[in-house]
Formats: sequence, structure tokens, C-alpha cells
Amino acid sequence: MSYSINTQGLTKSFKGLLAVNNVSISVKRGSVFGLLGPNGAGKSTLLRMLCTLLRPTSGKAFVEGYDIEKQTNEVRKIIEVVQEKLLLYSVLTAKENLEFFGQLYGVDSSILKEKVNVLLEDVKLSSVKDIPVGTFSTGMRQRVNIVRALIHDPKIVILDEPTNGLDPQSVRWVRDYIKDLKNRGLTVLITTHDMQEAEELAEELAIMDRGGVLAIGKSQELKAKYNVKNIEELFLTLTGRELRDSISRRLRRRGW
Amino acid sequence: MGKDLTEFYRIKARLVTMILLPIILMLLFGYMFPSSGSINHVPIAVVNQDQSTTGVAIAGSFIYAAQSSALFNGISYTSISLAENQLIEGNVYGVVIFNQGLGQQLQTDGQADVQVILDQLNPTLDQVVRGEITQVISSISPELAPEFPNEIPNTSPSLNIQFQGLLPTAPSSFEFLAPGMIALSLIIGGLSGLAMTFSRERELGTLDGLLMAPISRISIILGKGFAQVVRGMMSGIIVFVLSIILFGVHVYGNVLLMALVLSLGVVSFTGLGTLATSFVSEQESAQLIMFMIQFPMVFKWYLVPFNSITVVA
Repeated sequence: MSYSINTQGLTKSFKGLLAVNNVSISVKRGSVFGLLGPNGAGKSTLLRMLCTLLRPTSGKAFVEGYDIEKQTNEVRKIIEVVQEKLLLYSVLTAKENLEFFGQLYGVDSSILKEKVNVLLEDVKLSSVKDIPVGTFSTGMRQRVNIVRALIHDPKIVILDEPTNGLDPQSVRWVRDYIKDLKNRGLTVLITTHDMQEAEELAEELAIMDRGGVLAIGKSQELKAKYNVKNIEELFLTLTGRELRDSISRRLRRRGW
Repeated sequence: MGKDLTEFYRIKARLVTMILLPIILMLLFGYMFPSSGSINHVPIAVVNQDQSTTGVAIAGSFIYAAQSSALFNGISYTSISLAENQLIEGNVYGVVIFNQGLGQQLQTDGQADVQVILDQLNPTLDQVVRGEITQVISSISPELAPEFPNEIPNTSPSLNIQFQGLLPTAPSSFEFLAPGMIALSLIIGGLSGLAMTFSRERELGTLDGLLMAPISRISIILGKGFAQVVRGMMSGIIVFVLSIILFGVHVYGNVLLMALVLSLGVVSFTGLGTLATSFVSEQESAQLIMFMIQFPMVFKWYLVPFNSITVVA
């Protein structure tokens, strides 16, 4: 079995605060993997390490065989993230945003324009390609944000709460698009607080809490193992029902 | 109000800037502008073309009087052209010329002319130096008769001062201001966008998009830096062109050299600004730091002598 992502004891601490604690997960190539966890569980920190935005404190991780610490450029070429915060420049048009990121990733200029047009057509935004994205609705911006991630043909796409704040139509569109990405052979890693979404999309799940992985496996197997009816029950069984208050590490350092 | 103040005080970068800025301004205002009390040991070229006993004595009296009062350092030169070159290069602030026949003139007319050439390009300093030279020469005038009872029969000999400028025509006040304005607009144009480049991108999250791309960090810094340099140069060029068209500013010297020096300057300030704003995460803090860098320059470059621009006669 070949894995797109493989982490071995991956750990990240920030001045004594353990954000990710000895995480070992493997994501099969061409699959959709769900990463669930309450706020402050360490999901975003784990993703930022995989994208080479953060260096691990210890442990190793490989993305399509490339070491995230030693082969950062190779990793960056094949992985892309669709974050909760949109990676779009509001004064640029949809077309200009895609072209900018295409140039950034070294997409050949002779094919870039055509590629941009195809991607915008994919997300039904061809008619507004020359309008600044700052004027778009949230759903439209998210669609541009998603295809921005695809401009350089990554092998792995990480979607961090991609349907957060979207209307039901946009949510349906995003979920269908994720299935389409899988059908195209991409590996998709998705984080979400929507358990129904996780159940619908993810073939395999990992549930994180307090920096560690509590459970990992196929959703059916996990439900059977923990004798629960659905993923939400599984989640609450593993992480508890207490409210989670999480403050950023910066505030923690200041003594808040 | 309470909420806004609380927000302001909790962000240390803003607080530090707020405290530092008035201190810097006080220091600048206190020590920057020349006044008659603040002039001392200003180098002045002295050219004595009258080698008679009287001429040598008068020139000597001037140098002695100037140095005794600690106002000037009189440096003797053998020719006017040599002294003027020193004035052009900024090594002296004025040239005092005791013309040939000075002694003779004093004997026959009871008064003689002393020529003083000043820089003119800094009206503030010009006025102060003018006043001090007049004071020194006035102080030596009454001493001339007792000094030379046989040579100068008149009881009240006097030296009349003829002031002239280095430039053929007296520059307008805008000609004095224009170089500073060009430099300042160029630098502010470059710096003003810097707060946005990193701090804003960090706030919005778009910086991650750049950092995740397979490009070097240096190329990100250089790309953003040079964008600001271009922005700054455009501001400077606009002011330069408008200065000439609207205010009739004359260009003395090599324009290409000026462009080269200014572009190097804006590159330096862009680098400085990039470094300064990289330490803060909020746009407002970055803007405050930029303001702290820019504001003193308004007075240093805009209103106080520019020694960095060479005037070629």
C-alpha cells in the first residue's frame, strides 16, 4: 500500500506547550482522509507542519516520500492547503489571483492562462473572472480559493474546514467537488467539525485531542469498535462532552 | 474610549513607539536647528589679497576675533577659487575676502569693502552665519584706528560687508526645499506601503500562501522590497518634475547621479523598513514604526541643510 502522507512520532511544542504529541498517521494515496478534533486539538498545527510552515520539534513526516524538513521545496510543489482564512488578494480579480499563484508555483506561462480559464469554468465563475474577489460572496471566494490550490496540479490537497460559513448550496458544491478531486486521483486531507460531512466524505478518520491521536481507522470499523451509531457519537465518546476553551499560544505566553 | 485605550496599551509595540516618538522629536528640535547660540567653530575660509601691513593685520584680526569667540575657525587660503571650491564641497560655510587695496581704501576713504560669499542653499544657516560674520567684523572695526594711528588717520574706520551667494541667482525658498521634498516623497512613498506588505498579509493570512510556495524567502523579501522601491521612485519623480514645471526649480549638477543616489537611498530605507516591520504582527504597529522613521526625516531632509547633494557650479 502506498501512502501520500506518513508521519512518525511527529511532535510540536511551543515553549513547553505540547501542541502535537507523537502523532503517527498514514494517509493512503488517492483517498479522502478526515482529521477531526475539538478546537485546540492540534489539527491546524499538524497541517502546518505537513505544509512546511512549521518545523517539527521531533519526529518525522514524509509527503509522497519527501521529508518535510529536508526536502521542503519538493513538498511544497506537491501539496496545497485550502485554509479557513482565504489565501486570496481582494483587490485582484479571480483570474489575476490564479495567475499570480500559478506564476508563484512555476506553472508554464504558455499553459497558465488556459489552465486558469478551465479552473474558473469548473467552479462556474468564468463570467466574473475579471472582477476583484473582494466583491464576491463567501461561497464564490471559497470556490476561487479551492481552485487556487489546484493551479499547480498538486498531488495532495488539504482542506481546513472548507464548508465553514457557507450556505447549503455552496456546502453541497464543495462536498461534490471533493469527491471529484478523489476521482481524479488526488489525495485529500480534510478537517471539519461537521460530523455528517466527515462521514460522507472520509474513507478513513483520525480523531485528535490534546495533541494526540485518540483513534484512527475506517469510520465503519471505528463505529463498530466503540459501539456507536454515528461519527458524532464516536467523537463525543472519545473527546468528552465538556466545553473546550482554547486560547492562542501567544496569549498563553503572556500569562492569559 | 476605554476599550480603544485598553487595546492600545495591551500591544507593546504601539506603546513603545508612542513613548519613543516624542523623545526623538524633542531631541531633534532641541539640537537640529542652528541658532546664533548654537554656532561654534564653523569653518570659514579667509582670503587676504592685500599683502600690505594693514591688510595682513586686518585679516589676522578677523581670524583672531572669530576664533577667540569660538564662533568660527578661520582657514586661510591663497586664492578665491580655492576657497570657493571648499565652499562648494561643503568644507567651509563661507568665504571672507579681504580685497587687494583694502588698506589703501581705508586710508583714503576711511572705509573699505569686505566680500563675503555664502552657501545660500540653507537659508536658516545662511542667516545665522551672516549675522555672526557681521558681528565679528563690526567688532574689529573700532580697533583699526588705534591699531594703525599712522596709517589710518580717520577716527572711525569701518569695514563694509558685501554679501553674495555662491549661486548666480539667489535661490527661491522652494529651491531650498525641493531636494528634501524629492528625497522625502521618494522615501515615504517607499516606506508607506511596507506596513502593508508583511504585517497586513500576516493579518489576513495571505502570507502563508507565499511561504508555502516553492520559492526562497529571499525572493519574497526582494520582490516586496523592490515593489516599494518602484513606488518610492515614482513619488520622487513626480515631485521632481512638478518642482521644475510649477516652481521653476533649477537643477544644478548631474541628474543621473542624483537619481542613482536617491535610488540607493530608497533601497536602504526599504530594507530598514522591512526589517522594522517584520518584528510586529499588526498593521497598526507597523505603521507606527514607519511613522517614527519618517517623521524626523521631515525636519532633517526637508528643512535642514542637505549636505549630501553636490552643487557643481
